[in-house]
Amino acid sequence: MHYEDIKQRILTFIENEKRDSFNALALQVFAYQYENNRIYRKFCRSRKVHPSMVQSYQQIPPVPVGAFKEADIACTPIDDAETYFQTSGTTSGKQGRNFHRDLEVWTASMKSHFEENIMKDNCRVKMAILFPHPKEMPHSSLSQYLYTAIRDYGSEESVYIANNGAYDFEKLVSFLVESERTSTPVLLLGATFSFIHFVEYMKDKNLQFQLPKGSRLMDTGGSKGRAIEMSSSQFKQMVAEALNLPLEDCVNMYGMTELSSQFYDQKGTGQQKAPHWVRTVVINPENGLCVQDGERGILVHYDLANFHSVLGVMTEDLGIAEKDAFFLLGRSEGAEAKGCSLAVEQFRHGVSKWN
Amino acid sequence: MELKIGFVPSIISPSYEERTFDSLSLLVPKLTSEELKQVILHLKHQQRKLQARKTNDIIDILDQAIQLWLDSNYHYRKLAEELLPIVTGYDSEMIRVFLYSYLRSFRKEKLQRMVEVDFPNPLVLDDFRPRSSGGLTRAYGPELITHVFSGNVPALPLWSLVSGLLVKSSTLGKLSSSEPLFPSLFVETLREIDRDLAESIAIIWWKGGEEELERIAYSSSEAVIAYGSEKSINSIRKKVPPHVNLYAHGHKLSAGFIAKDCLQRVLVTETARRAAKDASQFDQQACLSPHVFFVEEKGNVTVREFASLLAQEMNNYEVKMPRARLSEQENQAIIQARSTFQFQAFQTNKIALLESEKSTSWTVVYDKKTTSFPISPLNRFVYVIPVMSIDDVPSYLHEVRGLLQTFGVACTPNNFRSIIEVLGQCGVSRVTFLGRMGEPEPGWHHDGRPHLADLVRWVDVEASVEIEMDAYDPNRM
Repeated sequence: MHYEDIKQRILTFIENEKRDSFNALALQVFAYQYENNRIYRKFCRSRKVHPSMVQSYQQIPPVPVGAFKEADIACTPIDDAETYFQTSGTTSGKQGRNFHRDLEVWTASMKSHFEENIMKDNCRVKMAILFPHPKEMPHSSLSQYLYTAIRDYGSEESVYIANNGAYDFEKLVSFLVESERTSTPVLLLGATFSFIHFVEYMKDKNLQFQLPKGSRLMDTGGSKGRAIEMSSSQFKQMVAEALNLPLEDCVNMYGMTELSSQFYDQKGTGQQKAPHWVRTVVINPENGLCVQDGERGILVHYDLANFHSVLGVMTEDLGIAEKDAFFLLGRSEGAEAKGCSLAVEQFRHGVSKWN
Repeated sequence: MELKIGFVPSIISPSYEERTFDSLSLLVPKLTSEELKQVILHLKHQQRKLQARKTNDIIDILDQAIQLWLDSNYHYRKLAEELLPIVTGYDSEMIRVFLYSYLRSFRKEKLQRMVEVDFPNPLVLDDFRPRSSGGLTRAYGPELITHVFSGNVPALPLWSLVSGLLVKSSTLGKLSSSEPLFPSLFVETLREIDRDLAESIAIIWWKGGEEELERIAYSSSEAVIAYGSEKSINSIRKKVPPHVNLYAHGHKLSAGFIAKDCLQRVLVTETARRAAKDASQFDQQACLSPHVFFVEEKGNVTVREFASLLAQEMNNYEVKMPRARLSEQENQAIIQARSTFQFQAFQTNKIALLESEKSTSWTVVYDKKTTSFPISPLNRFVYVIPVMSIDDVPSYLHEVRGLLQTFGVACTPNNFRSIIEVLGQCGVSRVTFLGRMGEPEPGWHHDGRPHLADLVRWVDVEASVEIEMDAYDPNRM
């Protein structure tokens, strides 16, 4: 199938679930990737899998995330790609890259699920982003995600709190004070760890906020492996208290550079909801087979929006799958710390070094 | 099934904590600080009796215990064979075979050798003996040794337990959470043979890091022998007072070297079989399990071919003695390491990945690219690195120098000397033939130190005493 055709088919499916079947489309995407992704084809051959043998998406060999650090796993020559997103990977020094020939599907995926989970009925809202702008981190998928959010859903008063390698918490404070004064609901988005730092800052300065009704907060990345570690529910409790937000208005987003879609934990139960173009399966790492329903194992995500590289990605996360969602039970210990929070730490380290 | 283990003197009746291993639940004694103090007092008291015994008598008792354990019908041996696979997850046949060869290395002759390697005149452990340079001398073991046992390989605690008894020290043993069974059963055997000797031993449990108990145990001992990870050793190091000697056996790295003459057509399969045994035994959990084999190029078969033969033999071993079931984390570590090499292998022929199908049972990585010592995620995951000669090996060992332990070598009489000289220089502390890495010989210098001689303190009585005291002899003429 031709590139444009398959792209259109995915875009149509993202827009309307009823226009296609996940499985049929997954098999198409797999065939496309097998044909066009040389490294992935070798991988499938080593697994003795050919598209002609595959009837259901669960049979498609998922690529372990670590592989992104070893090879450019892309369906088009990397020089033709509009951009790539890069993992932080500071512990090993190696960084994984996920190439995107263009960002059309990536953006459609981000927006569709973001609208459903974060924006609800609003069309534009006053935002504060606690993460660097893509100018500063051009290859961070989180940076691109937040930029898309502010560009397409942020009102004119929206601001970036991180600037030129530093967090301007004073700016955030005046932003919050202003919104309290005018009773304008706000949406705060950023890395989990930047919020932890901000709450510490508030404590130091003896600050307290009562955000206007309708205000929300979205964090991502978690705090594992950082100076202050807390569970997702502890975190929500903390920010909800500090900003006087209802718990249900604190949403956690789970995303990976190696994927092109995100998951949202709306209820604060740890249940990460997937969009309809993503399916999560849980495998037993001992033999690579799917576990029984409700059993724990390693999470594998099949993301149709990830059609520029590979559909199936095997994570280092332990979890339990549920219909269109999964429960995260934590990372496999010993595995390298991942993600966005690390990038921010790096960023902050940079700051303290410069000062 | 429920079983009370550990070993506490009859003067206390402590509470027990349950440790479960699948269907088996083991109850380990968990003492209060007060009880621990009482036990220590008791052990120190018993040590005086132990001190009065002859080393040869202790050897005889240990030998009797070993004889019992070598009998496959002996009740504790049967119990160990039944329960150790449940406790450790290791294959039962692997444990059975290992126990047999391992226990034999504690027979009377071996114990005598262990003593004589360190003490050319073993009588110094019993009495003041004349020194050739004049005067007398005697070696005293510590009054009390606290042993922090490890559990990665079953029965491993026997080394330090026996060492302590041979220098007539009382024993306070802290069981490992992962394998608390063997030391407990073995001390029960000693009790069957000699009640009095067994009274100088207590085997208990506490959770690593328990401040109060550790402080009492370490500060009341004259020596602490500890096995464990860098992290647990460091935590122990912080708590052992400066006047107490700490003998720490942290995690170590081992490897193999295979000379090209051992890749001759008729012998190469045997070489691969030996390598596979070393890399598979105890699922590579022992300090003396190899992470990597350095293999000489330009042999009858290429190193790449040897890696394939090794893979076959790893598979054979797996069929005979399957690896333990792993935790998700351990499996994950193997999967991620495999994918790293697999995707590199897609881009270069300097790397090849050979792996068990549809399982994580075994993995062989041929790696001509790396320039540093590759650390395996263990559980039968081994590297093969081609080298032109033994002289290429030191560059890989340089950065892990302080952590090196065993080298299993396959060599011929022609090149063996040059090989051991290079390895000795690199900080390796034990060289064995390939296939023997898992079974150190009695009297070995564990981590490069004497086993028993390190434990004792010497008391010298100088010749002046002998000579000058005569002047005061009331019977002098």
